[in-house]
Amino acid sequence: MDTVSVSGTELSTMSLGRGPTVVMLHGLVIGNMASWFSSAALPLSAQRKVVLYDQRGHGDSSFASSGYDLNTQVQDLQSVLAHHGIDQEPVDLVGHSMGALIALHYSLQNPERVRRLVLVDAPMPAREHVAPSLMRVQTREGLTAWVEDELAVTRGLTGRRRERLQKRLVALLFESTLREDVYAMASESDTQLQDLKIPTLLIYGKHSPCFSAAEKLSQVLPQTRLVTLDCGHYIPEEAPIELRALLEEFLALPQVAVPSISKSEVAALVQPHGVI
Amino acid sequence: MSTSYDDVLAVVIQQIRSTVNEDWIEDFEIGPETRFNDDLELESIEFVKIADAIQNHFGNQLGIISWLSGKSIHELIGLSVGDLTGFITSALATPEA
Repeated sequence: MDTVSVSGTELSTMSLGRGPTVVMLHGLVIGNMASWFSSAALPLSAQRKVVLYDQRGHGDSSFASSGYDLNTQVQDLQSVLAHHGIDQEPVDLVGHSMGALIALHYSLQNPERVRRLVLVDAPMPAREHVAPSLMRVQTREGLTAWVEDELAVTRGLTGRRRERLQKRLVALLFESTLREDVYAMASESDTQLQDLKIPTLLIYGKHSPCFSAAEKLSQVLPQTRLVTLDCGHYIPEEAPIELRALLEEFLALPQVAVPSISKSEVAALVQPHGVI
Repeated sequence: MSTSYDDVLAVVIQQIRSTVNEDWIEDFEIGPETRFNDDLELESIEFVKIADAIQNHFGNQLGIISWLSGKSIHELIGLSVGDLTGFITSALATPEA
């Protein structure tokens, strides 16, 4: 595991396997490299180089008091790519939730450096889909209730792990600009999205509160395929086997073989009851 | 020449202590029955760090990566120290072709 210095903090990163590179980005607050590690990154690493990193303030990376906006996080991603010597070659990007928004933002800024893009339950715009849950927690007491009644319960976190999650959330929500940065995140522009010539796989949970973003992105992005799984927002945890199968299939396709799908065909590809 | 179970166990325990790197772990009794989840209450990211450190310690001939592959992180932290040690010991005794 390596450390990469970026503006204001240090990021933890690791690389697995050899071959064409895929970079996997985790989600906000409770996500980290472990979100992808054993269930998806290790299987994919049998035939690829898989790069993982903890975003600022997450996992084993250092705390950062600011820089949770997409432009700074794209710079963080670029620093990670440069550290691994893959900043000049096209890579595949796979992101869940906030990680998907970072991957999409990077792709819009650097389309020549992205081979294929997988957006897993991308909550665009974050100010609409992510901010409400963060804004709901206005006090430390409110945060304790959120952790104890929801986050820790659904993940079976007790004792030390619950305490560490709570400590991390206190820092992110009350001692950093994360909330205001998320609240400022609008949708990417339609014009830019329409021009994105990168094969893109959209994977959404049919019960996810972000599902309207799936409809929007599948209509605007020119080379996209939407797959809907029978789960909620936390797809890497809720449907890891189906997700892994989709990633292996999509990332095995030669780039030229991914068809450009017309908007009318996209609706037909939506599978309301899961794909497996 | 194979590495004994006890040698591997000592390495695993040392990697746990250095990864957790908190005062309590120095005196915490860790043995084969100790569970990452219930006893050590490790976070998932700490398990990833330990697995990575063990892989680096023994080198790439150790197939720990393929052994962990495809398991959920919840399955992994449900393992005991002895489960992990036993796997590593047998993997070291059977080099990959």
